[in-house]
Amino acid sequence: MTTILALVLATLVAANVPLAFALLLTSCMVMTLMGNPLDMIPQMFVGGIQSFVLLAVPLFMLAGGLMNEAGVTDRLFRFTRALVGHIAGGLAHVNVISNLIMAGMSGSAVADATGLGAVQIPAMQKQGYTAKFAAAITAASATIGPIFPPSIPMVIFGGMANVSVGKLFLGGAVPALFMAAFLIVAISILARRRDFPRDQKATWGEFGRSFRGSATALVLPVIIMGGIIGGIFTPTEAAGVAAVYALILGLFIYRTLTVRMLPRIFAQTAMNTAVVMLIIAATSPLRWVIAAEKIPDAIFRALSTVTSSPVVLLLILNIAFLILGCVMETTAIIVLSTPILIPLIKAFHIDPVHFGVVFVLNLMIGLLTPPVGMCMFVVCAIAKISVEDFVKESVPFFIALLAVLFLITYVPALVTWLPNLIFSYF
Amino acid sequence: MVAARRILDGVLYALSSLTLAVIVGAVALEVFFRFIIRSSLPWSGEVGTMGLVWMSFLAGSYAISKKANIRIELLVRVLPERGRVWLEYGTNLLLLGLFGILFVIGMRYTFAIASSSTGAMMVSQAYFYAAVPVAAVFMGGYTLLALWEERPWRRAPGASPPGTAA
Repeated sequence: MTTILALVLATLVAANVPLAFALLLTSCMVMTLMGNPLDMIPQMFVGGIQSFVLLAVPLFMLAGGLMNEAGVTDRLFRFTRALVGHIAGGLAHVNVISNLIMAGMSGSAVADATGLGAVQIPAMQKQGYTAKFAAAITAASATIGPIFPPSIPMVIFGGMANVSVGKLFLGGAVPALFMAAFLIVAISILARRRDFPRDQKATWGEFGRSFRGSATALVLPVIIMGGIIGGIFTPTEAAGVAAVYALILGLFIYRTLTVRMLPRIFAQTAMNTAVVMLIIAATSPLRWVIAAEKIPDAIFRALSTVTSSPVVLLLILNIAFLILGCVMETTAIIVLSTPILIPLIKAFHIDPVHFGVVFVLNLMIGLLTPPVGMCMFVVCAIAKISVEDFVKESVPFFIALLAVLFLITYVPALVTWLPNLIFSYF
Repeated sequence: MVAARRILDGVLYALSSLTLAVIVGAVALEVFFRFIIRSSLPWSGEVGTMGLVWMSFLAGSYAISKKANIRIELLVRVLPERGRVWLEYGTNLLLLGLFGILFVIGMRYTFAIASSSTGAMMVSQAYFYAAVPVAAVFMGGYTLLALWEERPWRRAPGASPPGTAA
């Protein structure tokens, strides 16, 4: 039955059937072959998304969309430019820092690459950077988005694996800072070799004005993380507060949003969320089939003959996800792999929070690689460059991100220290 | 056909925005009541999850119209144009069958669960599960439109008649 399941799913996916419906069709066929009635499918289909935790996904997406439309990205760019623009390779550093700050608000790498890329890539080109370099650093920096809290992929993983989303969020904080630091080191090395331009140092007046312009937006990451760490909000409530805050900011403080713009932003967010939610919903009947067929047990037995070491298992999984990330979309990998992986990592005594962060970072690196890397496509479109040019130019940043992946995989404390510390108080 | 698609799009565009607005309102009210009024709302979480279910199915139907669903197109890209058109037609027929099944089992389950109540609002569980057959109708409608609009034997506008040089 497992072979039939894999064959049917692979055929449907290859035939360009939307993933959600390919999953659902596979479940229907396999359940029929197993002699089970299809009447339980609606219950599993709806039950898969009837979750308070998953409510955070549309709310964080909405907050990110509203922030982008309200022009927060522009303000953040001006502020970080005044902060670090005078260093050699200044605008490249600005790119990393503004992505790190934006990461504290949106939780989506593609949204960050779209919003910040539209501002940063033209500005970098204007200052003399090549389009391919500007695109490469923008895409690489955008991958910080879902690692630094809040994070939409971590909400989905946490919701499906029954792992604390708050712990996952906090677990991503230190690795995200490492990502930013490693990217900055890579830029500094390149800046010395290529003699990158820099801005004139901002005066205190200029710095103060840019800070005032972005201060109200800079409060948002503090509200989100302060609320979650302080035990004031659940991650879902924090997402709701973020969405309402972004709405108030755009409508009443910056006045860059109008009520007429809202239906379009809301409908777009609803559609972007729905394509993810339908996949999660459709995985629910398949999860039942996977459990009934004892597929995780079979994989565990097969892997046990190869290794009993969690270190080797994580290496195998890292390689598998880096390859999968090249050919599949992030959400698809999370929803398809999580039901199989969770029993496996528990059997190997790996901390699910540690695994969740490593897993998501793997998938973020996949956003930079052809043929399906979404961040890559977004920045290539903005910078009007070829995928080949992007790939060549992004090699140093790819290596920097792989180094962080290696580090957090084999030093679990980099992930688990902060959530364990904070949650020990609450 | 264009008018039918425009009507369906308009309805789903409005409903998708509205359900997301309901979610935002429910979660915002929950936070407001818990921290400002200092009294929890018993129903806000349930309204939020009901909104999520309906939004996912309605906006998911809208995504079919906009061809926004996540697909893996690696293998399809290597097919010739004609092969791609026929494959698309075949998958649409398959999807139409799936949406038909979803409608039938969705209706059956909605009626079967109608007498059970939700935990907080004490309303019928059918309000959650009705999203499945309703979405199946919208999804089926879009698939029928696609089957008509993208039928492979329809000559492409501006194409040369069969047997003549391009």
